[in-house]
Amino acid sequence: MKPASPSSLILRIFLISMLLTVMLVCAWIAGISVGSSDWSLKEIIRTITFARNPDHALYSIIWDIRLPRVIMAALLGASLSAGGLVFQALLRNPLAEPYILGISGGAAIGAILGIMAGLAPFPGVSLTAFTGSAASLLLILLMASGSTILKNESLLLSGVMINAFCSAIIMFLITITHDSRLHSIMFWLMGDLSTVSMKQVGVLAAMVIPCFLLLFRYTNTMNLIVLGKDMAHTMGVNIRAATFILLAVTSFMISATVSQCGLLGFVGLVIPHFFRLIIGSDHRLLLPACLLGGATYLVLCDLLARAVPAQGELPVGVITAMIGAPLFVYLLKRSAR
Amino acid sequence: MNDAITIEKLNCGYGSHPVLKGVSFSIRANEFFVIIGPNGSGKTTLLKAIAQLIPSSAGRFEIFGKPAGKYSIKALARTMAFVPQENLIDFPITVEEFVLSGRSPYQGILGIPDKKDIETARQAMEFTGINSLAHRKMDRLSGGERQRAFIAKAICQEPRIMLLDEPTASLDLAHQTRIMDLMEILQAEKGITVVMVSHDINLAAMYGNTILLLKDGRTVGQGPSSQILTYRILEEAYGCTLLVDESPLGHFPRVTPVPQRFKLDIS
Repeated sequence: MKPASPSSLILRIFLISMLLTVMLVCAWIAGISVGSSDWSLKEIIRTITFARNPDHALYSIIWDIRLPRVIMAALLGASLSAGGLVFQALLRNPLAEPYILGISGGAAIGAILGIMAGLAPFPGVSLTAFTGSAASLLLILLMASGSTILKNESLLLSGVMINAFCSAIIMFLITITHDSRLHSIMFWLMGDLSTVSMKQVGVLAAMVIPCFLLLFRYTNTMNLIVLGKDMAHTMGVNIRAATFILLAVTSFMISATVSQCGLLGFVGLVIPHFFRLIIGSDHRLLLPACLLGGATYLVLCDLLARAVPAQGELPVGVITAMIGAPLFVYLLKRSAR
Repeated sequence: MNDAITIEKLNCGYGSHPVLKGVSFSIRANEFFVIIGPNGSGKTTLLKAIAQLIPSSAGRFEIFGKPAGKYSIKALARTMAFVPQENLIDFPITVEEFVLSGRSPYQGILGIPDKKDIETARQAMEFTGINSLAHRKMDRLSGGERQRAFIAKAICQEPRIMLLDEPTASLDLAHQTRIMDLMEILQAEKGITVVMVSHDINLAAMYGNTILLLKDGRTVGQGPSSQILTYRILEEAYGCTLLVDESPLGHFPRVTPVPQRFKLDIS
């Protein structure tokens, strides 16, 4: 490792971001190229870039189906990974993941009720899911408003309890559902990207991209928070305010995310650990890395979900967990050495 | 204005349980100030109250003549550095990154270091003798190395006051002396006011200019070691039999706890 120099940090942030952006673009191209109907890469690039012909079949496949889907996957991956990163730092717990405070439970109840009522995936189910997660979010902030905010254990336990309570209701709702809606519910609970429109992508982007920027402002604060709350405070961090803002922004971002795609697991747990092992624990580097790397990971997982032959296609959550869980165990073994 | 810290009638506690009950004392600028007292006497609470880590109420609480409440959190971080007793770090941060983080009270929101920050960190690591550990991970250091990294980080804050909570606990004799010597040099050469909580009365006697003895959240006495560390005062405070004589190293007291089997012989 070279000795630190004033410019090296900015240079490293830039290099890591560039490298991962290139990877994300490659994943995007691959994601757009693969699908149930075969077209050559050349035709696809022509369709995206200049030769726009709205009557062509490929045009609508790409602009209405594949492009929204790969952008959506990227937004979801980015926001889940960043959420995991923030919660791990905030709770000083390497096992924290974006759903740890119970946001997912509320979203799931909302979504299931929406599906049972026969609403369309967008905006109907997204709205009911967001309402559900907003309710949990409110509950979390209420719980954290007192002195609890600086006590990680109580915050974690409250989250576990919210999730446990929600699981019970979810199980109850599933039990009383019989028809084909059960299939939709299962897909939602696994995380699914098969019905994505450009409008939905726009809504999510407008909600999560401001959160990404806000989080970046707090990256150095997170560096100090992982040293311990007393340390951070005596180094000039207003720990109460910083904790509340990070908690609120991240929870909002995750609420927006789960309400669009269901409960995609493991992305938020694995990606931050992966990058911690590779580039260390400076959050100014980790946040851009998690955003872009998480985006790439989910685009590729979605690609696999579509490429693996199945009846229809697999929910992408199956792939993220199937790859994520063994990868996580491997990383854990490696870091223990 | 000669006082670094002036505190009058400080009350502090957790919930409805009061820990400090009207503690008053003052710390002169550039002195080596050691807070001692039996377990549960409120030493650590007092140090945390000084660092503003826990809420307290006081008749008067001034830092360099300015009410403590008038300091912003950043200004406070530039005035006082805190070395906690519990110093484990679970995240794999390097020693260099950790020491450099001590510059954050002087930096912008993203904490991008400039040349001066890096030079200050380098000097702090040299001063504490952890240069060779710069790229090691904090969670892979021994207790003594970690303590020196924490002190290097505190030095980086360029504080006028350094607060330390039992910095020598769980260190062997060589490391204890090394840490205490470091603090003495900081006090003598950099003019830093050292405020330390210690269990070790003999270290307090050897290094401290002023000793504050606490018991049950109240001040028992404050003064130079020769006045405070007498067997009458200490036996009363600690509730055990002690032998106090003069240290062979100079004019300061040496305290030896007396085991049960010797007690009959003395009386």
